[in-house]
Amino acid sequence: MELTYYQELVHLIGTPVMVILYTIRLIYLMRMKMAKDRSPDPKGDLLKGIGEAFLTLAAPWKMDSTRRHWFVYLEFMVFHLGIAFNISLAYLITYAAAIMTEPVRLVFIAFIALSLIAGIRRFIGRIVRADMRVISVPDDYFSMFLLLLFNIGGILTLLEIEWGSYMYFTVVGLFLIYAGFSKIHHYLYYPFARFFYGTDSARKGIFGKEIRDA
Amino acid sequence: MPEANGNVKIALEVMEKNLTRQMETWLNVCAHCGLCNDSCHYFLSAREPQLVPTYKTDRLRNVWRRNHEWMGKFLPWWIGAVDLTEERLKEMSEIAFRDCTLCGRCVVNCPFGVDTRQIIRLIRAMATATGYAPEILDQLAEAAIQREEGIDFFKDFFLEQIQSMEPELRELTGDPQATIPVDQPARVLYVPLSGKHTILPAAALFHAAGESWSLSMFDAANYAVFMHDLPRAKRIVERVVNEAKRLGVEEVVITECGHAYTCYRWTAPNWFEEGLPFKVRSIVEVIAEWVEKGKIKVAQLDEEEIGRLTLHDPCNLGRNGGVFDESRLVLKHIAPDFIEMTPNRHNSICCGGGSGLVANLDYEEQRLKAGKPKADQIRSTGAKMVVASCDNCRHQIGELSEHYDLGVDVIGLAELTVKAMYKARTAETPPA
Repeated sequence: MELTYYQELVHLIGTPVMVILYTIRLIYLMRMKMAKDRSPDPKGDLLKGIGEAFLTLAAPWKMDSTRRHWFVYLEFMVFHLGIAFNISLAYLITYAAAIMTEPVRLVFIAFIALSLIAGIRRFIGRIVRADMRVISVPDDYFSMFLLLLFNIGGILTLLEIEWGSYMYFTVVGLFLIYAGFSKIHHYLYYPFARFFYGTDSARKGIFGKEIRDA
Repeated sequence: MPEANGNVKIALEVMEKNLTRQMETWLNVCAHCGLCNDSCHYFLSAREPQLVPTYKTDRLRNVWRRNHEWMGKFLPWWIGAVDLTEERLKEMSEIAFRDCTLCGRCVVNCPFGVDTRQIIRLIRAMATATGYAPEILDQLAEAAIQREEGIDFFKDFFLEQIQSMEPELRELTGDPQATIPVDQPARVLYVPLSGKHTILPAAALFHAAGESWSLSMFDAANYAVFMHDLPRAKRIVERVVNEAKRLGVEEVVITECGHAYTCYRWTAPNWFEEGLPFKVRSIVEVIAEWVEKGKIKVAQLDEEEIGRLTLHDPCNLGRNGGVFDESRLVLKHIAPDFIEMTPNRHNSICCGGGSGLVANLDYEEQRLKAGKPKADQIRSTGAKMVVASCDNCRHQIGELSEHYDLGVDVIGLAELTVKAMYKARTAETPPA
């Protein structure tokens, strides 16, 4: 099968499957009752609190865990940033290939390669660390493995190696279909989680409130 | 999937009833990244993998997955989904009551904000509904309810106890007419814990500030909150609500007690259709206001007498309640050599005594072990005195001091402020 046809076929089948699964998940979530907090006189500004909750991810000095484990944080950011580049690559190379000029390709390769290195470290960490093994299930290992293949495939595609591109789009298809069933869908819930955390923290004045100089 | 019956059925019903949009989000969003692992004082102290927050919450998450996730229904082992069994219920109940103090440190250290406290509370609710909650908590919750039912029987004895504290109050305030008002219409109702240490210092401060106040006949502690037994928790709060209504108070001030403050200030308003008919503050917030506005006069205490002093941020008052600046403001006025612990405020390390652990002798060994990170933190400050505005924390830190040979005294903010007030009035420190 011709590569361009294969790419389009993968998107044509995979993307709607993912969209449908994610939509079902969101409808299910939104139909659930919301636990409303009616405690009076919040100590902080709710909007500011929500904003802070979202921005904390970009402010590692604000969390003790990321302050102490700055390398883990860096790895986390590099890993996810590379994945974001790679997801956009899957669509750009199929529907807007003209954008992928030589300099753009180099930038993509750099980000995805760093993500691959970070991913390998994370994968090994999950295997060798007892505190990670105890919270890991087959889905955790498989999802990680899939993302490693995804990154390898992305790099091979950017290097214009044909068999690598076939492998890449096979993984893309698998990824699109599998995401809705696996832990990969966690990012779908991320905005909700940060929203709830932000409102609760603002209510109690942990976010959305100036620290007074005692 | 096998049909659930007996306790398993009851526990699953409790789980289903508590599945809100928030809970669904927290159960879904965890990516098992492990960043929260060493934010937990249990894991920090023992380094046992089963003590990481995600392992504990996964006890429920795996059952939820079996019942709610597509993969959980068709390929459960792939995502760790399991059926709830009597054994699993017992195991998760023990974990929820023994291996977590609901301190919330993992919540602020989670990149997603997964609210572990709420997931563990749900397990506690399932345990309570099936008889797996610690018996002592059940008994203490029941005793609190019975106190209101038998208040006529208790009242005379209570008044006698309060009156016996008044000579000391007069000595502290220098006012021969000073009394402790009980069951009298006032602007403020002060809710203490059982014990002179939460009544006498507060009485001296209320008196000095010239506040219109009355002492509650009930105890601020609410053990049903620890069990996540909401009907009984509400019933315990109702005693104070009824008393406050009867006395026509505008404000209820809670003694230095972390879980009681969080309960009255943040949780209980959600249990009553119209919220609570009064404002709720911690005595810590009130003392800070009085000191700042000069309503009570305080002096710096002698460094030789109290030595270096540090502050413990109780989880329920601080991270879960939002009271941080107030204690520091008061200490700035009265403590000659104050040193912060690191980390502090909403990143403060839990002492290990909260959420009913101190009351439960069965878990004493685990409790003292889990307190090691806090003990190390205190030791590294070189302090001789620790201020802790929570009775459970005070008890735990006192025991940690003995167990880890820290050589520190633990004191409440009200008691310390009374010392500073006494010194401002007499240039002497009060009798012990």
